[in-house]
Amino acid sequence: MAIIQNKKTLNLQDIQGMVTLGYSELPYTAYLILHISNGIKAKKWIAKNINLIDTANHLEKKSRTIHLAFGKYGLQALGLHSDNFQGFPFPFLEGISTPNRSRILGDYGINHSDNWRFGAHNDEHVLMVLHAESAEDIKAFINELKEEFSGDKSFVVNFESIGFNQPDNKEHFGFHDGISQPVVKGSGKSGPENDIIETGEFILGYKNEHQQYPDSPKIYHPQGNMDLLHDDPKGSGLKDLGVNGTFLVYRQMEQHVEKFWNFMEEQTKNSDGSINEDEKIKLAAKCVGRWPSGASLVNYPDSDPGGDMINDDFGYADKDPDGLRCPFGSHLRRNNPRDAHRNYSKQQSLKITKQHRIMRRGRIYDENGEKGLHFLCFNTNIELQFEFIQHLWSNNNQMFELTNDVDVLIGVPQENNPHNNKRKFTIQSEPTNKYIQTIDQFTSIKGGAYFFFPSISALKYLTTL
Amino acid sequence: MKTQTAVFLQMRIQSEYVDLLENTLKSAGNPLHPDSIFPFEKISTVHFARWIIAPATQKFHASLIYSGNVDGTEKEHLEDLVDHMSDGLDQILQYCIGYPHKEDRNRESRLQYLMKNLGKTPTFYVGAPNRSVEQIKIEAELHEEIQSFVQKNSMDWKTQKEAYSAVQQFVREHPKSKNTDFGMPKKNGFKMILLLLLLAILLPFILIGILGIFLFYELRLKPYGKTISEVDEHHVRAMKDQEDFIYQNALSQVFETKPGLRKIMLKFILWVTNYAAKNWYVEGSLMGTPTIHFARWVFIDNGKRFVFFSNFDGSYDGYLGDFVNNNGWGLNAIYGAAYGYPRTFFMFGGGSYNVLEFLGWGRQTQVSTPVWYSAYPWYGLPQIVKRSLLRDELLNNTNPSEEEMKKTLNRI
Repeated sequence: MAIIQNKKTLNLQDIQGMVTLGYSELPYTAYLILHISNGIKAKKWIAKNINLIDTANHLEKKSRTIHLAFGKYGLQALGLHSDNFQGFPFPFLEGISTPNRSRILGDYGINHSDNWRFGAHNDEHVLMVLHAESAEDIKAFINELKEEFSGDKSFVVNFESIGFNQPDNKEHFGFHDGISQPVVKGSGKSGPENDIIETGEFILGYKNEHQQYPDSPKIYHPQGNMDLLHDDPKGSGLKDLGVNGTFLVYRQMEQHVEKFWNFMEEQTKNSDGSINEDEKIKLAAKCVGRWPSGASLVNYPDSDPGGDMINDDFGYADKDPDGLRCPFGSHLRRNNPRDAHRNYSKQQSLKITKQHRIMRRGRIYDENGEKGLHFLCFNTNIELQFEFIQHLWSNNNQMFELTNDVDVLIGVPQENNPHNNKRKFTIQSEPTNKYIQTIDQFTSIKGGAYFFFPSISALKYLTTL
Repeated sequence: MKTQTAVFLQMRIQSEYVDLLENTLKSAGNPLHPDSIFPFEKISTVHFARWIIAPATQKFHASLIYSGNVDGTEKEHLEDLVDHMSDGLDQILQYCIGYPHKEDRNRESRLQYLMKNLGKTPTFYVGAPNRSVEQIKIEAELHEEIQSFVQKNSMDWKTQKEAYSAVQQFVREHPKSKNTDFGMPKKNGFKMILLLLLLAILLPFILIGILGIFLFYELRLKPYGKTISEVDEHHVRAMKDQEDFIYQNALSQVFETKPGLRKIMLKFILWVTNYAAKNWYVEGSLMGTPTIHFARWVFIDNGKRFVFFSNFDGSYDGYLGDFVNNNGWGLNAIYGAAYGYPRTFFMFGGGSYNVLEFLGWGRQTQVSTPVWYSAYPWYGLPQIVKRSLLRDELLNNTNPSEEEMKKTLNRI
């Protein structure tokens, strides 16, 4: 599979930066959930600071960036007319923690929204994401904003947390994270052929992998300065609030690091009871689908080559059709089956997996003794992308014809299944498979919410309501 | 070997009682409802069963519909219903036209009423043909025991042959293998060639039909339907509130049939589908979609409406998405004959390929499945098929090649 050129055709100046950029040069992030205490003042603040909102057109290096996302009630507080909500997709309108969504996402037990820090009532107004170069600066940035907000009474900060990237990009379990990313077609970034995905999977207003326009919110009830908005590309004659925007999924996920490694250690002890370090790491790698360095098990089945392996240019169909290198149930293979989905041809597998990709922008956190991940992702269709992956791939105990396995890292089986106490992780092996009994959850959800992530022009428009 | 039968009943509801019946059904049980007035678990031959209401419209009366996927014959099953759930039957059928009065109800009169309302199922797909409920459950238990056996003993096996022999011996001696009255269904290539020949002979007529559909139906349709974000939010939520409690889901849809040529073509396509389902799609996958346990298309109201019922693994989005990806053209050929379907293009194009409109249309035509039963709520269809193959191969493949042994062992 070749790395191919991907021409820049999008108006990057109109797209908030995080959709296409990872901001590795700004390793510190803050996540603020804001409540709009006064819509007029909030609009004023946004209008005044619109130049601080970073765009995907990354011409000059910045030392600080701001990104803004809105929940339904946030848009309402800014004055969006009730008629103008009808074009928004249901998951955004309903929110993440409805009974039927909790059911498919596995948000019960220790994941239950009753225990969440935010998102339990689906009423978040705004998510503000800040980037900065250092820990000190991100804190200073938060404080400056807080001071501003307490002065102008525009927003109240309901939740704040700081995330960061380690220099080696490892998450808390110790694995190189964020390697497998789709590349937005038209963004000007090159990438492996199979990772270049139609724009409409990540940005509204463009065709997706089905060659269709994703559902995008429209202005049914004229209000504000509509000249700022794009026309509906589907030709309805309405103004389209969504073009160059997208939807953002935010989940705060605690990682139970000690439990994870204790489990790997217990399962791989030598017969005399001593610890087998190599086997311990190997089992963890089998569960993840990569070695700690990030090297793929498909390319390096026996041991970790070490270093910083960010190669994502591989498939399963040719090198590992039976899962002997990278197990079917591994986190990696489940959440992106690439060219080997079910018994489909490579072409059909890729066609399907390309319809269910997400742009991940996660960062880890370490606060008050709790370690975890701020999971953020962008997608234009929450149901067919984020929810589909979590429900039908991570949480599916019979994916790839496995008997009763879920994703060891983030999977949660269906709540009512009486066989949950017999859950396992299957390692495809010769002559027979190996089964590791595993009923523990190594991650748990601490908060979650769905947001609309508007374009720069839509942001400007919102300030004119 | 047990053959699966599609039982189908349609009874017109007395219009003043539709709401009452709806309420009774609502409280009558889903797969996890412990106190159903329909204790299907007492009938060991039922795979899946449902009661739904085909709603009244300006043109149609409301009907109560029963659909059961069972081992054995229609008559045996109706007898079972009367014998095991006469109370439940009385509670809902009392609202239907022609049900015997209280004092006249007995085994015979109930049975007669059900027999009278039996309907034909012209198109029926079975994901795991020839397997009785009992067989499916036994094979699941056996599979679990094989896994435990492997887990305990795999250290002792050095080669594939050793492993295979040990597992084979274990299965052959296992009491759960004794009931071997079971044959894996085989594709019937000869019959499919006959079908292709027939289609070739009829090709000129089919092409004229497609052209007619283009001229007289498709050209007159508006290009845009409603996408999934534009259909009634409350309805979608009500449907979702019934879903994803167990590994499987039920889909019940009611469509109004376009008349004339479209209806003739629909009947033809459904006949072809049924023929192919019986003779070709017998190994667990319907045109590439491996998650369907049972599905059927049935005409109701003298063909002026038709229904689709299916029992499938996973989610609504995943299921419909699979269909579009694998054979969206087939969906178009069938559902193009239903009012409101996204506009097709020469019968096979367009339509479902407008995925968001298709998902929206699917929800719009979906009706509630208030009573639904699954005999094995946690088994996916690929599992059921895999376990049968495993048992069949271990018991019947006397001289397996290395490649075959590998394949068999991979199924554990």
